[in-house]
Amino acid sequence: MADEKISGRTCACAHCRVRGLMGPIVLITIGVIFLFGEYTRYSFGELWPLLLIVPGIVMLAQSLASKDGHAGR
Amino acid sequence: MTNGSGGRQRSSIFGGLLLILLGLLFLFERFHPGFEIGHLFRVYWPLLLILWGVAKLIDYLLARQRGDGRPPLLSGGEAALLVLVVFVLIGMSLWQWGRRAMPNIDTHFDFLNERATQSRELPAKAIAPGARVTVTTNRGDITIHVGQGNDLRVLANESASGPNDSAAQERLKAVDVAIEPTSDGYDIHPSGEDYSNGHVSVGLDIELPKQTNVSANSNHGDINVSGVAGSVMAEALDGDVEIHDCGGDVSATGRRGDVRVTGITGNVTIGGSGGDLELGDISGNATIGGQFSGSVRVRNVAKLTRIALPNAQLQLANMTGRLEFDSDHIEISDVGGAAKIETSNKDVEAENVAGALNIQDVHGTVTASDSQAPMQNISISNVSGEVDLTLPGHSNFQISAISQSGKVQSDFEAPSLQLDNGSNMGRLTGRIGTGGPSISVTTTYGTIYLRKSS
Repeated sequence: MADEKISGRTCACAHCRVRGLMGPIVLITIGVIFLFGEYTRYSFGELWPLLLIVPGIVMLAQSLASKDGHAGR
Repeated sequence: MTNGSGGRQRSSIFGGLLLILLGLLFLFERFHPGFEIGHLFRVYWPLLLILWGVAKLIDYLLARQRGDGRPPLLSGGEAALLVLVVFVLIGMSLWQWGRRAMPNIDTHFDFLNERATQSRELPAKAIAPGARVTVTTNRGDITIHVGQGNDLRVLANESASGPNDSAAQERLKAVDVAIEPTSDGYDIHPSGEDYSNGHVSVGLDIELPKQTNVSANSNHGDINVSGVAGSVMAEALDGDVEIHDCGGDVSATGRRGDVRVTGITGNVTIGGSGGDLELGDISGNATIGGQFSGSVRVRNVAKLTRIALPNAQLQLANMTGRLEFDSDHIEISDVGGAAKIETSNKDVEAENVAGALNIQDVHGTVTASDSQAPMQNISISNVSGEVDLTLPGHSNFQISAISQSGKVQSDFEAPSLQLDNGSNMGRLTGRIGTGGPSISVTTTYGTIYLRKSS
């Protein structure tokens, strides 16, 4: 998976841009779930499957995204 | 996900689809407590292969349409994901099994929290004979038993958790238990704090006069009812239900835990999708429906025992013996009246059925034996399985036993008996002794044994 990143430079094709969103989106999801646990009746124990669904959606978007202009090998 | 020689090769959509599907299933399970992923996976796992195939087909079509390189059948990342999924599913099954083995363990996320508890007795209320008491808790056990007096006494065991002790005490202070009069009795439930988020649990220990109708509902917690002469209704979404020594009709529903009902004078109706089920000493009818995935044990039901579960339908009249039932096997013994069993993929064993016996099975071994000469008709039909029937030597009956692509073996001999084991069919027909009840046995691809007991 490291080949989309070449010596610290990130490729600018749609595929790699979506891929770069994965980390931030997962972090945001975790934060939102814990916030929900504190302020609504839904706890982490009930909402954790979102941590599968959200990365799944990102992965799906990533594999559907175009690789035109991919700066890999 | 490396670029092959084909140039611009994309990753497969399979990984993403799999994660989304799993997440949706787990989310659905959280909000529909009766739904069990382990069970679903055991039954529908081939759909995962189909999903894989469809995803790969879409990959191929997409790649062709855009002129990209075709993704490999299973890339390294997908293989890792699959291994992870298998581990999660095994973990889930172990966890569900562990909850059954140790039902009292609190699986609620409660780390790093302080907990405060208190028990208090609420003021007693006068209650008329025949009144209905409805008890509802979200988190906490319900115990209902009969007291000496003619009033309703409620002992509340309250417990609250919070990030520190004062927060827990604060939450505990807000908790109350309401005893609201209704047109025909009382409605008892915790009130005050929004207790639904899992920080607060309220257990209710209720003492009431014998002549009371009871209905109890808990979302997380066990229900125990004993000694009541009126009707009893109990439903636990996530906990065990135990009802014993009650005089009226009983209806119990278990969604995740075990259900145990014994010593009931009225009719018993069981539903739900819980773990193990145990019924005993019932003077009325016993009716079991729903989707129990564990074992079912029933003994001594005076009237009719009716079981309608996926994959098995049973009707047994006056069963003084017992019934045992699990995922691959059904055993019944000592039935005073007629017995009818319809199932598939289970071995069936029936012992001492006095009334008419009717067994239909597919892909199982059927064994039936009687210590008394048969007085009523016996009809057994099986597909791809053996049938083994044992009767006393002095029995009189008419027999017709046919095994398509199998053989028939008989210990019984009589002049009118015709045994014909041809190349593609075994057949035994005729009369034993003076004739009498008709015995009909059919199967395919299996031997039929007709044995004589000493």
